[in-house]
Amino acid sequence: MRMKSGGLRFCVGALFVALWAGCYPGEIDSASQTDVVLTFHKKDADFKVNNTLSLPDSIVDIGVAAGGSSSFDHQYDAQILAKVQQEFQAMGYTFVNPATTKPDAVVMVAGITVDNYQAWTGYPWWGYWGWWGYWGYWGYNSSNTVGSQWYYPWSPVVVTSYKSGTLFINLVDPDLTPPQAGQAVSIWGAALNGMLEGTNTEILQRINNNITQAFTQSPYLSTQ
Amino acid sequence: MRIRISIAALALLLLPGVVVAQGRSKWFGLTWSMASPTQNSKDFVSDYSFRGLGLEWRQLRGTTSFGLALGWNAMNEESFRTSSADQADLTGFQFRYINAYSILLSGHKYLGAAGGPRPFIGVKTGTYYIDRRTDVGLWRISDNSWHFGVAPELGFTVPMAGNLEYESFYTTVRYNYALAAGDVPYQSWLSVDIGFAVRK
Repeated sequence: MRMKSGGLRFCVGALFVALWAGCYPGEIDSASQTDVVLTFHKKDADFKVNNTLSLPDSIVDIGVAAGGSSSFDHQYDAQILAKVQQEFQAMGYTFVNPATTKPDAVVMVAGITVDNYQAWTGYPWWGYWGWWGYWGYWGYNSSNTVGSQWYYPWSPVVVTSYKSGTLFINLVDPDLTPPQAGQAVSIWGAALNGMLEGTNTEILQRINNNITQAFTQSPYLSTQ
Repeated sequence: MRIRISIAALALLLLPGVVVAQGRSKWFGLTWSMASPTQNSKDFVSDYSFRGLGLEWRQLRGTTSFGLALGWNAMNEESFRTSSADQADLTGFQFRYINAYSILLSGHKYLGAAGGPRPFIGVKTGTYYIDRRTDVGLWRISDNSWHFGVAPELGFTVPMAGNLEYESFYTTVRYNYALAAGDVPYQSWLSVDIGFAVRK
């Protein structure tokens, strides 16, 4: 059996078109696939010496604090902070009331929901936490910290461009001596970044999953 | 986009007729090219690729030929993974792509007798333009570079219209080796091409 050349060309052409169109490479097809969990830690940090922590009761919107536009939704602050606290507790940490007990380290949570924002290492975060009234334990004066910021021992490794929604979790050990006066040393940091699409419930579920992932990929945080 | 691709593919199918009209001892081939990444390329993307295209022209002289071949292979991989480096760990869906374009000179030696299936061996050499891309979350990391490379190949051709001088199916297996360029290590993949050729 032989094919005529016209028929042969048509069949081969149809085969090419079908295969080419049908084999389009995979791409992001859901908001959850944009989620990224990035964690860093201080190289020689001893996580077993900081058994007690304190967690401020608010998530700081660093977009607004910086004078920019942001639409960070504080509706779920309590759930997010509770989830962060739960994960630290699972690692063996105990949370104390800073009004009565000096903690070994402090957990800071911040968020931003604007695009193309330079954040983390390049930003003077300190000013946003001045409202937390317990810095006196370590001799910091929140009213006199212009230009101060967290010190990140892993810098400049950090990627500083974020889009859409990002939640930052910092574990700060103010007992460590920073390179410059007025700084406090962050010994662990997490950035949870993704597109803010879907219902609030879905977004909160993704945030919860990503908080869990941040701790899962940081087993060295365990106090045990 | 797909309409444009379809139009381009159909336009390519018209070319053999043009080439046939230009003279004897010319071969024009169009192939569907699949690829299996190896070594460094496999470390980057490991999935077998069904997406690629080959286009070649050969000038025949007796049982040998020389020519020019253009090729494209798109290799990709989708995975959810944690990547670690120093004190940093990054978890998320990663979409990795290698798009390899080649412009190669070729030489072939044909065995067997005219009018029947004919195996051939050959080697191609020239340049590869390789674009590597990783999409993770809302970020993209990419690099691209020109490489010098070589590609030995084996193949055979089968006449389809009862006359090898006009049209035939042919297939090749080719090992593409693109030397390191800049910060990009050598890249390699095995490609399997299936297509048809017109000769006169």
